[in-house]
Amino acid sequence: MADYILQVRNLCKSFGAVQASANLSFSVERRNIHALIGPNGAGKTTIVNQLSGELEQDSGSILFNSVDISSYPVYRRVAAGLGRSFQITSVFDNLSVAENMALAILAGDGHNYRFWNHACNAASVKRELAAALSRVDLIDKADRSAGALSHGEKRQLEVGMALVGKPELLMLDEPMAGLGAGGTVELMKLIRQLKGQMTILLVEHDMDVVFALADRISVIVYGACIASGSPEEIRGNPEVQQAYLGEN
Amino acid sequence: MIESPSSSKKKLILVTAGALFLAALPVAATWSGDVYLISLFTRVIIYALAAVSLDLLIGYGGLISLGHAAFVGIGGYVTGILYVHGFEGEPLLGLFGGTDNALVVWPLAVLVAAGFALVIGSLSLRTSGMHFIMITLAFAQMLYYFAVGLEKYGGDDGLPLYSRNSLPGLDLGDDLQFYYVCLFCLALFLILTSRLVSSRFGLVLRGAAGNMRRILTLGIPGRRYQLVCFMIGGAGAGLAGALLANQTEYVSPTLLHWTVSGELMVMVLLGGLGSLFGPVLGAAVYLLLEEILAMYTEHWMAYLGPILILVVLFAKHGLFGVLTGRED
Amino acid sequence: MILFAEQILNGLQLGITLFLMSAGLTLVFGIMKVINLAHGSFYMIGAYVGATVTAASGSFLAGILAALGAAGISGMVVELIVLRELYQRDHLDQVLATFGLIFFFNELTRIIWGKQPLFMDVPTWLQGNIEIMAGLVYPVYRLFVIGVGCLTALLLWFLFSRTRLGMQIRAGASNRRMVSALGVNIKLLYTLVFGLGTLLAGLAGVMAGPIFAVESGMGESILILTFVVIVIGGIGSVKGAVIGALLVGLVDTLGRAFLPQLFRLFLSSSVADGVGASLASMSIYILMAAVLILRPKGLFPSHD
Repeated sequence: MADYILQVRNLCKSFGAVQASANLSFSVERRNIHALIGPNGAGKTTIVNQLSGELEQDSGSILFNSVDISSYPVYRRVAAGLGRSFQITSVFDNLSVAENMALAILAGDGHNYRFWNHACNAASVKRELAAALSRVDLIDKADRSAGALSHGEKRQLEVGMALVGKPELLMLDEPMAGLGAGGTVELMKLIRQLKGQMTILLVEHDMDVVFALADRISVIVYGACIASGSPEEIRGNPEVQQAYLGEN
Repeated sequence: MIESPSSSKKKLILVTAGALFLAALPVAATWSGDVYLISLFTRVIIYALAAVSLDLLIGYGGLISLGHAAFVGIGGYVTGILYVHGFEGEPLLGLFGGTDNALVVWPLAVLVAAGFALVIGSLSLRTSGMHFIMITLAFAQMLYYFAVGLEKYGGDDGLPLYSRNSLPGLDLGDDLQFYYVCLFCLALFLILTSRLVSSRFGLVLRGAAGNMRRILTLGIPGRRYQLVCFMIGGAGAGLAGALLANQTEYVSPTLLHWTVSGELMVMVLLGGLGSLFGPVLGAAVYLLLEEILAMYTEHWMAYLGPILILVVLFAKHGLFGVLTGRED
Repeated sequence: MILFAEQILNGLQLGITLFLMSAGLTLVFGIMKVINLAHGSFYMIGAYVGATVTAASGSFLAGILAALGAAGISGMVVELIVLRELYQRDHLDQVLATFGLIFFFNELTRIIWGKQPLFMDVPTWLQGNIEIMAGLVYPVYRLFVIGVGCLTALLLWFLFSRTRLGMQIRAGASNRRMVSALGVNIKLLYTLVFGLGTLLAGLAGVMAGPIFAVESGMGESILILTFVVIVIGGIGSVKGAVIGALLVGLVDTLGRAFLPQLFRLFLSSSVADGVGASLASMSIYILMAAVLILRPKGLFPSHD
């Protein structure tokens, strides 16, 4: 039997008459890059928000490492090993790049009720900050205000911050959105490097990116998973072509 | 909050100059005979303490509290009630005797204020934004009416103290000594808070103020940090209240009135939000402006109001920001 | 029983006043996302202008009209000069600037009308008492206030549910972006909504004139009650303002009337009066805390 890190079972969530997820089930194998694709409005971001705990499901369950986490608040899911980046980049604009990264490092390093020593003098920050910033090419901009970064740089910072927590499962919500061609190539390189170290759940619009990176693909239509399989299987699936690829 | 080297140098100069000024003021005032300046500046220092504690909430914690006067009032009432019970020899709630020993009263004022901040904060922090402002205001007004209803402790008329607290080795009744004790408290609080805002706790706090959603997805329960911040701010205001009760030798519900909360907020913004030292300057300018305008016209509020609006509209970082050349 | 019915009427009357205050303010909060501490100032302006014009002309109706005009127009002027600059600012700036407005208006009334409170007589045609039911004698003026309030509520209901402007306003309270996407002149809409809100506050002020003293700073105590109403009802919800205002009016009035008596059942009468009075003045805040614990966004949260 395959080693599943994430199993979503019969997840339902509706906003009034709109069903954002309709009896949704799919499973993600450990150390895979698993892509969620689907036409616009298929409810992909809503699914990510349910997985991360920002939205509560109406029914159904989410198993992470075989533990039911569906009633956990956001921070407990993060502590359990579920990291994410946002579709619309979300960093701390009021802090410097280094402080952003330091926060991410400190988040995984015990409690923060320490009132006297400078945050950047914490042992874990001293140890990891430089490497964490270098990994996403931001070491030169450490003292810059994060609010002043370009869109691509913010995205790099955000992915870098998600990596610091060493999540077992990293959810990337449309990471390529708004990036130019150069930025996309850079980020694809980074995601490939991460493969093998962690599982990645990739929500992405750009089909070239998805087919270049993913090991498995699940197709979401109207909040339900209509097919799961390898890129070849998905490419050959008539239902998928009809519902989604057929449009192109 | 990223400072260029030149602005942090200017800040150092400004803070040093301010510290020297406050340290030397009583000496100069005694020498020139303007003794009233000592009590005026004692007031400035005490309000500065309260304003700095509010700046911690607003400028760093992102918690726009319009009920900060409640904690000033609680500090004042703890001082007043303990004093009365000590004076009359009647045990409080039939359990403890009152006291006028500052080493007991002041820490107690701080603790009780922090305790109230814990309760009010944990209720208010269930909300955010506009709700939070109105709710902190409403809770403060509730305590105001509670104080008005405290017939045993003077009700509406307030509670006179017949002398200041006693502090072993010092005579707080002496305005000069009291001035330096207040200055010491302010300096201590400023040192503690400036360490705090750059500590791990402070980093989380500033992060939560800027982007709460992101803090939560980092796995940090940000609201709890804000609650602790709310308590620390309340504690600082409690100390200010105890000092204010000592200075005026009088405690009344007006200490808790919401206009006091508003004035503290004005001091913070006037001086410079999120700068800790700025609110000290803000308190000084506000109280002196009030004093000076009142010399020329009894309708000074008609001038102060528009001045405030202009400051809000045109001076984003307050006086401290203008003087240190801080920019975003 | 008679006493109870009388207190219910008193509570209704306070609730109606609070409704007039909060209906406008909740829309200002909900649509413009502006926190306005100076709303009480327009209540005060309404009371002062109403009292002055009534005294000069001898006609209470003229006083009411003048109060409505003064409050509405000064509201729109303030919106144009100050508030408009604050829409894009954070709440802190809004709090401070409107706090400055309070200083200004309070002092302005002192300059114009002096420090002494004005007293406004109940107009002759509304003087006296009326026996509503056996044993329950109630002042005609207070019934008039309740009636005017109900009428205003009906008019507002008509405005919001039957007219185009009302629909735009309601849409604005629940989804600001939607309204601008529909091509509505937002600036004009904002000025009108603000003016409507201050006009209602002015109405509340002039109606309160013969009941309370008209004095500088009279707007602040009612302002804070209004905040409590809005927090309980939910920001931006007119329905919430109605329910919240009636709840606060009744709880406050009944609490003050009956809590001391209740405590007398098991405490000595002097202690009971003290505890009861304290608790009564805190009762609405306790109500607010309870609502918050159960529903942090109020009873009728508007969707955003």
